[in-house]
Amino acid sequence: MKEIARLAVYNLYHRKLRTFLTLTGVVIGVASIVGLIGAAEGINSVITGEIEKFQSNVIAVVPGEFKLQFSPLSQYEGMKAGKLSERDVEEISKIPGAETVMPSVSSRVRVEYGGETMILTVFAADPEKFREIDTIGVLEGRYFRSGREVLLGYSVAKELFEKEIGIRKKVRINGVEFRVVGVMNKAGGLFRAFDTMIYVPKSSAKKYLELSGITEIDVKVEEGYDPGAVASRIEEKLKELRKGEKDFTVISPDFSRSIANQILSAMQILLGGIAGISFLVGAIGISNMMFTSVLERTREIGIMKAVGATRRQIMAIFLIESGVIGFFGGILGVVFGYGIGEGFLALRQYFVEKSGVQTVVERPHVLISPELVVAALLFSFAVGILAGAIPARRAADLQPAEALRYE
Amino acid sequence: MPVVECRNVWKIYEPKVPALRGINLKVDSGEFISIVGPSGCGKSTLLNLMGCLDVPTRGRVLIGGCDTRKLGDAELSRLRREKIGFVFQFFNLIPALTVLENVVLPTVFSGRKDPKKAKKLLEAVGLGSKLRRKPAELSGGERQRVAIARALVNDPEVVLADEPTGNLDSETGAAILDLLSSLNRETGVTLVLITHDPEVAKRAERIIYMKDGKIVREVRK
Repeated sequence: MKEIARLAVYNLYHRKLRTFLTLTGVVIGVASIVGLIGAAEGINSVITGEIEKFQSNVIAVVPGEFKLQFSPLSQYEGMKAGKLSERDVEEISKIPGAETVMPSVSSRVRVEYGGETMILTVFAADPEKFREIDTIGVLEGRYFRSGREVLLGYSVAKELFEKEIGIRKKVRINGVEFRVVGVMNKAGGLFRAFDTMIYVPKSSAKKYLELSGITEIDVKVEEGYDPGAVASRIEEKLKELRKGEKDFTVISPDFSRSIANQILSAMQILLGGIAGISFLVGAIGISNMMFTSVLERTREIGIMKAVGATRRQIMAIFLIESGVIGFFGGILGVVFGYGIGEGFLALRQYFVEKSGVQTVVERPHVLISPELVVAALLFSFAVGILAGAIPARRAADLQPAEALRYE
Repeated sequence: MPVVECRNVWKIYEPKVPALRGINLKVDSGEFISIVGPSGCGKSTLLNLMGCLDVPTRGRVLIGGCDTRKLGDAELSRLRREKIGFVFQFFNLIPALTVLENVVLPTVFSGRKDPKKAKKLLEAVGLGSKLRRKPAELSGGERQRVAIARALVNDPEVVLADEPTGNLDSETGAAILDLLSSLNRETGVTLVLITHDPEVAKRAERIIYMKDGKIVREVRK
């Protein structure tokens, strides 16, 4: 057996070109699997990270009714218009577990700075409550207090305008001058573009920007209470106030998660599809290489049988050969796959940036889990052996006379 | 007991082309026989059956009294390994292996790897200085000598040679025939030689003439 194994390895060594080409086929197959799955896993992990970041003890109530489906939550357009009132705020405040109840109003406004004008969302709330509920935190300066003070989202201050906006600078909002008192931390976040919003006191929004009414009520849940339970209480109460009509939506952390999970499962399906196709492509590539490599040696198999090799010995030679190719092809494939995945993500990043989309999500990198490595190696080993075994068996089953006639 | 015996052997290739039509032949130990006939007469087919490289459609081939029809792959392989040595027209060496490795190969399959013996045989056929060469670096005559050494390495009872000079010039061919007949004389190995050339056939003690899948004449010297 040892000699047979040596013969197999020897064969590989002495057919360098053939071995190299076969190995290349295997490497491409495995690399495409590892690269694409690794890239998809990387994107996946970024999304999962974003979900983790999502505030888990704040419930938001917004007017209109959304269905549980994947939609950009920062846009409330095109929904059945409902209204939130002071009465709603009072009633919610009475619910046990509702620690801080913050009504707010947001609107699209014109923001001017350094000669540039942007349309951004302003979010106006009570300064005290905002500070209590906010989980993003202030990077520079402080929260707004009163008057014409504005707090900027991270991207507004750092990225959107040609010139960075520092604290103590003046910006014009709908033509009214406001002083920048702080810049928020980078929030990231898939669900709401916190980084591209600006924040002002509610009283100032009313006085200077003529913004009134309530477009959102945020509720911070007291520690020890289940946010889900508090959310359903709020929902019941508001329904009661509207005599059963539902023209509002309570976004509990669960609700946000379930939407996030929908994105994630869409991602997972995509990932599964990519994996499946890659596996298929890889398997076909490996089989093809092994097949031709064995077929072209049919005559050699005839010679070996003529000098006394048994069927099993011939099978062993080819299985060891294809197993070795499968195994080393797998290892190289994992290495190259990493490169392919990074290349793919770099390309993706390039197109995302070129399209001018403001990405708040951090740049994904290839993620190769130990499971993926093991699966890729097992896969290439198994496919290598199988793809080698089928033609080798056919050749070994031929009458030697027939194999010797094979050209 | 004959080394090889054919009893009413038929070989019919699909679709229904009879290559052999009822061959009866006994080859005794130590004999040197040649089978001669025009191409397509079935002589190569007969040799393949005698060497267990193929199985008859009808009839029996007995090797040392063993009916090959009753044997499985492992036993047939063992027969080829232990009792039979082949020499082919186109040498059939494995190109990736060196001269020495080609000759050692049958001993690898028999599980008794014996490079010393292989080397000795190669020296005996005059190739002691070319052990590490690849077949492609050798002349036709040299390649055939390698093949003869390989055929002998497992001490077979019979060497089956299928047109061993068919691919060689006449001078080289004559030298190969000298080598084969001297092996037969000196070691007593049974030799079955196939050729289309009556001159070559005349070297044997017994000449079997074949035509259209049948033995038509037998001449004993």
